[in-house]
Amino acid sequence: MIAAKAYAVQSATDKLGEWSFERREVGPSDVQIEILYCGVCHSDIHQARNEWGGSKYPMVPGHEIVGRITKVGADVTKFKEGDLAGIGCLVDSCHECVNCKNG
Amino acid sequence: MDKVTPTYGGYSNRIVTTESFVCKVSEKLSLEGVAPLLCAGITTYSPLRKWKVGKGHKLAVLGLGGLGHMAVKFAVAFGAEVTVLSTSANKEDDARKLGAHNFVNTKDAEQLKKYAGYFDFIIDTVSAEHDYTMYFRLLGINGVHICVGLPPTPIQFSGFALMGGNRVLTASSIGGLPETQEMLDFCAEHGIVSDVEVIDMAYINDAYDRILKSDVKYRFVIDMATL
Ligand SMILES: [Zn+2]
Repeated sequence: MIAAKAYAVQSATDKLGEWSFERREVGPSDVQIEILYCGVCHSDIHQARNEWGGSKYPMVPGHEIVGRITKVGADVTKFKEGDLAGIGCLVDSCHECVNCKNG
Repeated sequence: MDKVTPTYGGYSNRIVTTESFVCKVSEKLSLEGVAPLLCAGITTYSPLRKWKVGKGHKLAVLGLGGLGHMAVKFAVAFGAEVTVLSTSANKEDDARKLGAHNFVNTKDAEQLKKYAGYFDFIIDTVSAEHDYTMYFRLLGINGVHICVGLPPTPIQFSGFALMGGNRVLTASSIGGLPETQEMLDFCAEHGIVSDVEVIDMAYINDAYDRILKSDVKYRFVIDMATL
């Protein structure tokens, strides 16, 4: 596992605070990205506060991600180490932002 | 994905994900301004493309926040005549700075009257309750009202205000990955980024308070070096 730092909420009424956790290992079709900037969307607040239901905790919000690739899996073809990368709402199981409606 | 480790989001120093969910980002743009393109950008780009908004179209943007300011930039880049509709008269300068051609204070009945039946499209970014019927009447024949923001409660409107001009009410949610890449490439080519206020990670709780008061032009972006 890969050690990571974040700001997270531990419950729907919690404020965001520092949290350490682990990202999964880089699989064959995965990339690892050092995040440089993350935008703050109104839907982050809805999710952190469980205003749409279904929020799981601890939660690390944020789906406007820009960073640089530091590691690529063996089967990765589109990216190489050092490339800039963007990640939005559609990530693995995280489809919360289909409901992302707020400016 | 391993289906075991939950997906945690971007308020973090690093992330691991499948390459198919990752878009390429140009070195040409300011990265802090690129971040909001991944949600606010694609959410407004996608319906404008779907409805082929461009030269000769009159488009109104309802609400000038994170989504609205991107809608203005994209619609201007696509060649439409863009009007910002807002309840706050003091947003006119901001609207014009973003490239909008016209501004209408929607609390001013006289101004509204001038724009009856005027628009081909309205991009509605407002997530508070508002008067849909009033805005439908600003659309011309076959005009299209596109919701990218919605209030939490069921919406109410006069169906006759739609029927009267064969008007269309529709809604749109983000966009797919290929279209997100297309949008990022378009932004790189045309020098389009979001207008942002860069913040330290530790400021995030204050940033939330300010977002709830619409006190940001137009998006907070966290500098992850501060984590
Ligand atoms: Zn969002």
